[in-house]
Amino acid sequence: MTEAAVRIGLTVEGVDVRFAGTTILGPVSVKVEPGSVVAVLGANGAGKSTLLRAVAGVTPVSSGRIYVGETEISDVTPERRAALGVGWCPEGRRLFPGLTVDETLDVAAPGGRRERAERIGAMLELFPVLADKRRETAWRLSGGQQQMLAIARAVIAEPSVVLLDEPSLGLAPVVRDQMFATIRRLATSGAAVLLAEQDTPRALSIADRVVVLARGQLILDWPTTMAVGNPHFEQALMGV
Amino acid sequence: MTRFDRRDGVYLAAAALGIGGVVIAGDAYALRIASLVGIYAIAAIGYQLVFGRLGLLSLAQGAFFGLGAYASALLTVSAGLPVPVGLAAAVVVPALAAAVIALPIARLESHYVALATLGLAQLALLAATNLEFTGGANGIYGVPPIVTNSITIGPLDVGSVTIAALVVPGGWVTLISVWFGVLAALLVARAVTRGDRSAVLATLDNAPHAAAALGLNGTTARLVLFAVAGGLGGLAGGLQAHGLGVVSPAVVGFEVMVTILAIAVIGGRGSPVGAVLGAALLIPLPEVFRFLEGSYLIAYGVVLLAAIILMPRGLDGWLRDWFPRRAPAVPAPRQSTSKRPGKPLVVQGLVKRFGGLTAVDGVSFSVPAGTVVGLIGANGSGKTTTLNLISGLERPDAGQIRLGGEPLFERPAHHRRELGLARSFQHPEFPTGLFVLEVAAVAAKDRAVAMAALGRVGLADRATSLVSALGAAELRRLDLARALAAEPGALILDEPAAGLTAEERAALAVLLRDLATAGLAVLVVDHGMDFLLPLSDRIVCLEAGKVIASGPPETVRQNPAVIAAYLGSGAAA
Amino acid sequence: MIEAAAQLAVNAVALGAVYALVALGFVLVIGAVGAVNFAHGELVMLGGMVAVGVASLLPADLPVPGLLVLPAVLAVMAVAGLFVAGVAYAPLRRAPPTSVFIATIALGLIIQHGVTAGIGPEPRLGPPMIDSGTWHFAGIGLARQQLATIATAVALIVGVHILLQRTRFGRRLRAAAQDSEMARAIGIRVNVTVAVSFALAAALAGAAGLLLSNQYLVTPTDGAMLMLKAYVATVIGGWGRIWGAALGAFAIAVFETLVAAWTSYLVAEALLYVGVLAVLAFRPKGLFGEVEGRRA
Repeated sequence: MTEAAVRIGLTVEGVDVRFAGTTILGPVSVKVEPGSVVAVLGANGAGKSTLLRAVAGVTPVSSGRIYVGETEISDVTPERRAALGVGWCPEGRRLFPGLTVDETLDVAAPGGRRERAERIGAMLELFPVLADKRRETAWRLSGGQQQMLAIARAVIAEPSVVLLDEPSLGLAPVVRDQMFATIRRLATSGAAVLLAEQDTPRALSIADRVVVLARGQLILDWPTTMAVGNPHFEQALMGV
Repeated sequence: MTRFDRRDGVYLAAAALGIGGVVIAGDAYALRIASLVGIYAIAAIGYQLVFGRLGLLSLAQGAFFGLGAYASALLTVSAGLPVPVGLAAAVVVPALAAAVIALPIARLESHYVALATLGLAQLALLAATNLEFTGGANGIYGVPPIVTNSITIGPLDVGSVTIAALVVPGGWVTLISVWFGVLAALLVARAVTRGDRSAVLATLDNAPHAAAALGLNGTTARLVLFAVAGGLGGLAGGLQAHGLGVVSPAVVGFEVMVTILAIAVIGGRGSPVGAVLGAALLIPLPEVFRFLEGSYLIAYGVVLLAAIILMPRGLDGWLRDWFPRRAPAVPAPRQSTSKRPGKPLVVQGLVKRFGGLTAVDGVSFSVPAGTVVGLIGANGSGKTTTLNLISGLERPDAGQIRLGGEPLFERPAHHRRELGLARSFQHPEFPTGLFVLEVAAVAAKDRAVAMAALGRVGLADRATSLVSALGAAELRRLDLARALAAEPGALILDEPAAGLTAEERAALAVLLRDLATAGLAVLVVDHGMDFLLPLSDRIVCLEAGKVIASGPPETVRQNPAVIAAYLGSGAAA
Repeated sequence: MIEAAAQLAVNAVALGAVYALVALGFVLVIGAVGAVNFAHGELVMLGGMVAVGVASLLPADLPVPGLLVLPAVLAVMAVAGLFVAGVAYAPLRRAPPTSVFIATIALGLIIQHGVTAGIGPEPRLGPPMIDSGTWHFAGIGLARQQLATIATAVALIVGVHILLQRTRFGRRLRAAAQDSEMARAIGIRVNVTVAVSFALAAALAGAAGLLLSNQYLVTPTDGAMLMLKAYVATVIGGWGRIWGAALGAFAIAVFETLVAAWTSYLVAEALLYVGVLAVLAFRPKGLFGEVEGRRA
């Protein structure tokens, strides 16, 4: 990243998501300080993706408020949220299959031609595996490269809030290590990172706080130091 | 079922109004319009079966209409056969043609259904316009009318009283014949969608995965509905040919098709009675818009556009909002007497690859009859893929699955119900607009068995609710009831406890335990260890597509590899 | 003999280039909203009629009347495209794709019969792209009219290619077509890309209408046949694949011209439909499958 963005965090206040009369998430409140990583853990279907989608604006919330810094974004379209500094890397990557690496980064980058080129350059520095694949279409990349591209697409606009949904899924251990290191660097440069993850040890290794969701409810919100090695945390995680 | 539906009262009133109007107007012109309404109603009733019930945007109904018209005209004019024979051919020929195309059309992606049927219609139009025996662009003249003259009934001598002879003019005879055809079409449409067939069709259309797992086979339904649709389209065409006395390539043209489509949309997609109402509203329109001359189709276009935007469920849907469908009668629950014995499920060396990723990599385990086996593993470890392979939604690249000793490998999904396998879904699909009992009975022998299944999952008091009124937790129970109502020997469940409250989970655990005690083999995938560990006789744990541990719950829970897999790879727990 | 063959080849290429324009617009809308625009053929016809109307306003002895009319046709038809989006798509955004399909059938009826009611059913002669006559290459005379048609169509196709492949807006439009939710999440205004897709589709249809209007005349009932050919092109080129469909349309035109020269136009048309039905019977997803199947 070129320079640390203005230090702005994410605040989620009592957000719940209902579908067909049934609550599938919440109410959940989470705060992500700028420059920190909050790991969201929990079983499949616990509501991790729904929480991230609600912040990105692609799943409507039934009640509650979401703030980026002081700005409320609860009722704002996804495209406007992107402009206000929310970057979302969805589960399953969802790259645009017909676009090359360069094109994918270019459509996501704000600014004029020169500024976009600079931003793309910065991304290729951050994700060196993409540097010699610039003209490759997205669907020809390996799983790890695709994931890097999906993250790069989410952060090229230097969002103050970064939402990462299971970025380690389907990646080899070595690639996972690289990726978690990159995520930590994003936070160090000032972003507020909300990370939904299944790889608990690696998530804990970079997170400042950890929250656990179960059946749409937030059941635990601790500093990482308190969670590591704590049997209560492990029980919460295994749902026992 | 036999109780009077108040919506039908509205239709009867509309019919009385129509008859009254025609009698009062009484002239030949009114009779002709009323006959035309009936003819298009017949064609549209047929179309509702394919467009509304099978959910296929077919554009070939106009071609069947034309085929019927030509068949009847050729037989009566060129071969000199009597009109009833011609009309019979007008039903049979298009019905056969429709049956032939039914299966290839029904397996097309939805956006190609319209193209394929349009291509067929276009070929029919080319044939009608260019072949010699169809009379080319001029068509066929001198098609005999259904009745030539007035029919005289009487005079009758009743005792000493003589009733004067009643003379029924020809126009009335045609009109009455056509509307007998409408009545027959309504009865046929009702017969082929009667009772639980309606729910089966809705499940095939709206919930294809559930339909496959429940063993619903759409082949027969598609053949029958296509054939009936073609036959009714042809009958309408034949009646029109005899009514007008002329057949020209215009009967195969797109105008006929668009008219039928507009009638179906305005009347209410899938509703045969709605089609009659739609025809009664649309067919007289050109008379209202006479100033447009040949361009009356503008009016159809405007009405069709307005209907699809403002009233997408059509007039019948709108009436349904006012007069909701009556709930089905609730039978006494009955456990089937011919109870199927439990069947052991054995999985050996199962492999499934997606592109370069091996999602399931040599998985083997067994679920003996009368036991509950829990399948656990982190997200992406291959659990759902394993279930999909067992239930036949995915095909394995290698390995064998046996149910009660019978190999399931390469059997299509819809055979598995007969073999005694049922499953519930993580995200169950349901057909819309149906009652809970109807949904539960879709794969059951009868509604009494379905009622018993609803009772087992605690939904007996919801049997007469609409599915749309159920909450997510109730829908999951309904999904389970639907599977149980098929009376399986083995049951597989994908995250049945997700989203349930503690009490609901406890009740579910008791139910699953009861099912196992009754002899079923039960395989459960779930993340809730508090739910799964006490419930299961054995636990199988997957990681990266492989079985890393299996055994009694307590042993598996203490297994370091399992703890690592759950807390993530490399965890020193 | 050689001259006849060369002229036949030029005819085939000219018709192919025009069909490719038609298919390009058709598939742009499929990409943008996932639904068939059944009124697309009517837009081609309307473009031809607009060309006839605009040409009648120009003085009679201009050297390149068609070329002068082209910008007006593009502009008027782009507005017509926005109208189609507003009437037949925008109110049905959340409805299933069949609803959009049916709405465009209705709109097609309104356009076709509206034109008939307004100006009558007669065929009309559109402006030529260039004055008639022949150019000579290596002793072979070729109709200038056809060559001008090819040049115009190719220029438009290249223009669309540059817009979609080389400009940022074009890439954003393609991204939105591939995954609209994801596109919104990275800040792309999908409402805008959809509207532009409709406008562009109608403008290309209009240009095709202009190019067809001189040699083949333009009749209010022309639309259905043209739409059907664009639809068939998606079976050949792959559902939702922009350049595949354009190539498919080109292939259809070449096939049609050559078979028609060999036998008759009727046989060519019948064989085309039989061929498409055979493809669909054996490959229900079309000749080359679907673009979504490759989603990363």
